[in-house]
Amino acid sequence: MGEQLRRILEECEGRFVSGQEIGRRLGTSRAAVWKQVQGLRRRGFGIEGARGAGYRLLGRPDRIDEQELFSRLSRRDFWKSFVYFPVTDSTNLRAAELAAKGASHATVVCADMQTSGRGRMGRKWESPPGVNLYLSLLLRPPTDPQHAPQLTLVTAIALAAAVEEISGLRAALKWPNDLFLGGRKAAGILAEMAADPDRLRHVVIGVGLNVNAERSCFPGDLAEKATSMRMLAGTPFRRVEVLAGFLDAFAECYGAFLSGGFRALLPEWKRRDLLAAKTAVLRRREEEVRGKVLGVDESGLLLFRRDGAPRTEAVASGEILEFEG
Amino acid sequence: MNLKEIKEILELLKGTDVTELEVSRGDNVLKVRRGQAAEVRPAAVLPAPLPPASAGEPVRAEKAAPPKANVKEIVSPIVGTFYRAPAPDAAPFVDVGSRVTKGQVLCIIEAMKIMNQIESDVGGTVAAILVENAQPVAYGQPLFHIVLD
Repeated sequence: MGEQLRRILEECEGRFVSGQEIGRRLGTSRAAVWKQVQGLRRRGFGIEGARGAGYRLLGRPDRIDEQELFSRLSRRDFWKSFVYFPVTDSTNLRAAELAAKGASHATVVCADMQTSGRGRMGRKWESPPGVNLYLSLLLRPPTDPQHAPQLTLVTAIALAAAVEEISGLRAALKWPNDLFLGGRKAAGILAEMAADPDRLRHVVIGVGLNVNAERSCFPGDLAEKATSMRMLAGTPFRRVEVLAGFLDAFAECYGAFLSGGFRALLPEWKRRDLLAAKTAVLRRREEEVRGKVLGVDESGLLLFRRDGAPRTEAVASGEILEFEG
Repeated sequence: MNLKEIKEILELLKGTDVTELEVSRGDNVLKVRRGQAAEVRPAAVLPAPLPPASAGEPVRAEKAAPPKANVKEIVSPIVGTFYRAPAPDAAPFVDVGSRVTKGQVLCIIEAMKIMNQIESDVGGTVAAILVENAQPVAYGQPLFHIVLD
């Protein structure tokens, strides 16, 4: 309801369109057009109505609207349900809760604002309202639990592809879960899974993407390390478009992963690998070791050669603290 | 190469001091590495990493003393790092002697920033914690012994 009208008004880019014209294109009466205009206004669209001239679009709120999201999605076949919160503590927590209640595979949980967005090991993820995307994907993949961690990388690839497509920027990926734009971090992924030794129950993949955040959105030390699509591109983006682009890209990448394993997506990672061939400091367990990153292998593990070591190691768990070269 | 052949090859290695072996058969490559499991890929067998159609069941880590009948052994479903608490400054999920109920979280195993909360599938008392905090664990490695109610 209202989607066709929205499209007609958007096409006209702020010029008036007569009620009669709209009615003709929608195949409805002028009174029905007026009802639809009211509907769009309730969803936050600014629409001016002038006697004799018709209607024109003044402004679109940067709201994440479910109807608009689904009308923009190409892979409506893949995504089963969308749950939106104006404010929540953490979308990962909400998604895990839904999973426990039996929510279906391919559920998206999204929030305008998070009050306790989380990073790894209890770190905080800055989540101001109105500007960024905070979402969690609930999946029930038919994969072996052992392969589930690769979904972190699969998600990062989908996010990079969507950001590049929409903004024209080049995204780089830092193993295993960070997206960089212009040398600074613009997105992070935090996934959680519930598994028995031989069966994966569900996976929740949390994504925080800085879309329109301005420098002033980042507190103190983060201002030097973080960025957003808008800060680099110099123009704002509609969050719902970015979200739809990401969900479409994810559906494609996930399909490729299920049929061909992470190996099928490895070229997509390599193209954007921020760390390959760099000298780096790897923190794992309680130690920090210096060495060289060779890349990522077919299982999504980080290939790292410690200085002076005879062999390359495949690292499943650890964090690159510094890198150069 | 089928599961039986892989098992036979692994049997052959037992009692030898071979630490690394690679066997190719057509498109299939079996790589076996033994010793210092934590540093290299802890899973001994690395079939082609195709999730739905993997070449064979991965070999489980060597088990410690088999638990008694009234003891449930909780093992790791993935390769990763073992964490006893949700955050570095938080209290551990459980200690030796803790009473646990079915579904209670015992620890987190992290790999590639996916956090796997390991839940107890039984009710009982934690008798042993077999891995130190922040240490690497292999697929199938025992983590806890829980004495059943």
